Amino acid sequence: MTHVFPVNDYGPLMPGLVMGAVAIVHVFLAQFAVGGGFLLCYFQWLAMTGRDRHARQFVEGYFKVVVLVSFVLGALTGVGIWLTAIQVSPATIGAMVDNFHWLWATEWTFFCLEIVSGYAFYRYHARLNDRAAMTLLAIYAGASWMSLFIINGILSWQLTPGHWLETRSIVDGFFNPSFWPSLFFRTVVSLTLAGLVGCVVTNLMSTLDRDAQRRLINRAAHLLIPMALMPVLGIWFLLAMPPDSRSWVLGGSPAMMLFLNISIGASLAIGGYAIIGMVMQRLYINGATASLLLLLAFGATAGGEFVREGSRKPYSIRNVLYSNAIEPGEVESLRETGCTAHDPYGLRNDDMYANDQVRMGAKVFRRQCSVCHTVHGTNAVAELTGSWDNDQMRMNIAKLQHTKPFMPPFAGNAEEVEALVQYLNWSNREHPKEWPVSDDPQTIAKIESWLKQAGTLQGDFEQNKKRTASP
Amino acid sequence: MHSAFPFGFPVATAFYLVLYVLTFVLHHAFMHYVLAGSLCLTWFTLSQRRETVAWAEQPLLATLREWIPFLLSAAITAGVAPLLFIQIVYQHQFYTANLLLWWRWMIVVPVLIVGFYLTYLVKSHRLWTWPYLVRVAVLLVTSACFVFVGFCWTANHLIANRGSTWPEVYTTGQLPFTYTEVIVRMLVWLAGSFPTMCVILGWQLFYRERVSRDGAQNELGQDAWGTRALSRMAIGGLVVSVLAGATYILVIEASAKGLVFGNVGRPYLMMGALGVGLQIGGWISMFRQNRLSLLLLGFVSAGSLTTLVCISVLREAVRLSAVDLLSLADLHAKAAEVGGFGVFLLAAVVVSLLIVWCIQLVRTGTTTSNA
Repeated sequence: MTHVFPVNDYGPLMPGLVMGAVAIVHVFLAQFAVGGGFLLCYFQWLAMTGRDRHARQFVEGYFKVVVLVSFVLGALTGVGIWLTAIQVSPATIGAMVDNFHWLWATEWTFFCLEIVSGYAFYRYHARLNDRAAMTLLAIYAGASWMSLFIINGILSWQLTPGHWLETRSIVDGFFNPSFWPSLFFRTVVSLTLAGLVGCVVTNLMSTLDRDAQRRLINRAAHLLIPMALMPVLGIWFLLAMPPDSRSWVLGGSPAMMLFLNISIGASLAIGGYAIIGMVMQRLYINGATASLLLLLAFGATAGGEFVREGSRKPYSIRNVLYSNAIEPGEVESLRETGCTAHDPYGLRNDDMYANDQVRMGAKVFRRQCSVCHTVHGTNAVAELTGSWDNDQMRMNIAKLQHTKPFMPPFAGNAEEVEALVQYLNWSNREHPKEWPVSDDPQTIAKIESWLKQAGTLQGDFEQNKKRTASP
Repeated sequence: MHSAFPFGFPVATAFYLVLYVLTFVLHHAFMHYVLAGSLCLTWFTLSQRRETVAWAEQPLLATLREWIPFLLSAAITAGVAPLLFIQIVYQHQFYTANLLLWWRWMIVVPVLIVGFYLTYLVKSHRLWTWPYLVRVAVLLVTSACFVFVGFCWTANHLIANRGSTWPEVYTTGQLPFTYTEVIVRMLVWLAGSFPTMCVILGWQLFYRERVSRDGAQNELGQDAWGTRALSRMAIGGLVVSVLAGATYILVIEASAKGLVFGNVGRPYLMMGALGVGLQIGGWISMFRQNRLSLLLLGFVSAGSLTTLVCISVLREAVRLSAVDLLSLADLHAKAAEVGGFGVFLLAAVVVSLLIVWCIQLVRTGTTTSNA
């Protein structure tokens, strides 16, 4: 049985949202750093071969941005993700570490190489010859891409563990079905971000005249050309997704579809501008436009990451761990013992609760719902269940995985379903001091029958098609 | 546990425990430079209020200013490895301590970001042209950021050791230790960070002096002051750290004392004392000679490394008295069965070679043809 951890309340923010915010910022910065390595190599080559006399100046200016943004914010938000992941779901991060710690340790070696080669270039490039500078940049670029390569395998495993589920082989887990499309897609995104930052940096180089800036911008825009592959890579990724996850993204979940469209729309806008403005050289990209394009790229990254995270539902690791950190195999026993029985943690502000049943409901909410929901804030259960009557609420919670197929099955007993219903009703009525205990045996019996009907397995995504097929 | 650390544990447990301690030492060596370095800069700025740019360019201070940002990067990067291994070794103990520290833990990263950017400001020439109070304020905030992070890790360690108090800590939000305990414990590390910094800085100044001589850029007179300052800081740090450590041992539980003074910790206690002795002897010699010497720096480096390893093991011995690590042995064995160790070893070798190549490029790839 998974360990029961204390759960922190983030007020109107759900923990998943806090995690998402940190993750999006980190992914954006980290991918910029990966692409930045390639961009720097390209410009160093331009400088070495005499193709652009301002390229050397660009390399120096750009590397300062890499150091000040990526080496500081990128590295620390990376640690931040780890610490936030522990806050949100220690069981998830624990499972990832247990299964992939040697790959993580391998990634760590590349972090070390990134730091050494990066700082060596930053500190000594002024006195290095071209060949040595290029070698350092190539090592830096290679190391940062290798860190992307490794983390991509671990992250994509969460969505598509593939044959790993049967073999438990690290090779099967790492080279899982969505590994390659995800890796190529992220590499293209990295190049795009680096190119756009290149445009911003060029505009900040006040010593250059407009023609020189235009030439550098056009060179930086070459890194946006691989964006043409994005539709193909995106479709490849969608095809690699499990059918249910794909269905949420393609219309099953309005929020996920909306974010996917934001991501596609922003990418199209950047790609269109890149083709007309930079590659065809019809438009000049000034600092404001370049910043706006970078902002759009941030939106595209945020949308993409939201979709990637959201499409795993109801799992945090597919078929291994639900998003509320309960293992699929645990549900059956928790139906017997209850999910609050082994929870050693009391409630903060225990006095404010009207009775023990409401307290139990609060504990059920904390254990099973709070990672993705709040009561009254983001993704609020009060609003989601606001129009349901009591019986409907009882049935929908008892049959949770059938009520919404991206929800995990309820992992507790009938008394806990009723306690949760009472807690939500009590919360919706602004926490009155007096609240009746609901202990009608018939109600409990009804909930038990619904729990039995629902079963303990994940909701069958194809169930309606099967129902239609059979009379 | 009747054997010296880590022999009293099953192979898998001992293996991860050793990896955790060794990577922790590496992380700490860098972090000590940053922490003691920023405190040192703050102290010298406070004490030399009339001096500005010229003072900041003095070799000892200039080297610190120049290298703290890189060493902080190195500390953060090196910190990833112990963060990884501590999760395997202590599992839910570590996670629960994180969760119970809650907002204090969540602001570690923003605080580090502020501290990191301030180190770049300290490095810049511009800060040293600003008014005295602004300089002091910047340095105080920078140091405070790193001290706060140290406090959070200390608190994390102490909470992890007190499983019986977790439910109460959760409901009340009160941390389960006294400030005296935290202060004494932090004093061990804060004071102990100075000798480590002095060793690294000693090597930097030694080579800086050598390069200056080769380049006929005379800095004579500065090295003597630097040597005396380093010796004072290192010896002072060691004395305070040892005294704080002795005080801390007096207040810990009898079971922890048993492990520290018993078979588990005794060899490390003795080696640690030897390391402290080597360092004090080496620094006193250099203080008397008024110069840094290759041989004596080698001695204090060996002493410093020994002390760091030993104090890290003793730190774990205190934790092991409170945590039943053997109950997690099955989980360690299971973790040891997953693949990827070979990939890690290969990557470690390749990356080490590439790092050597990078250093070689910096040494030999000087400019001859850049137009």
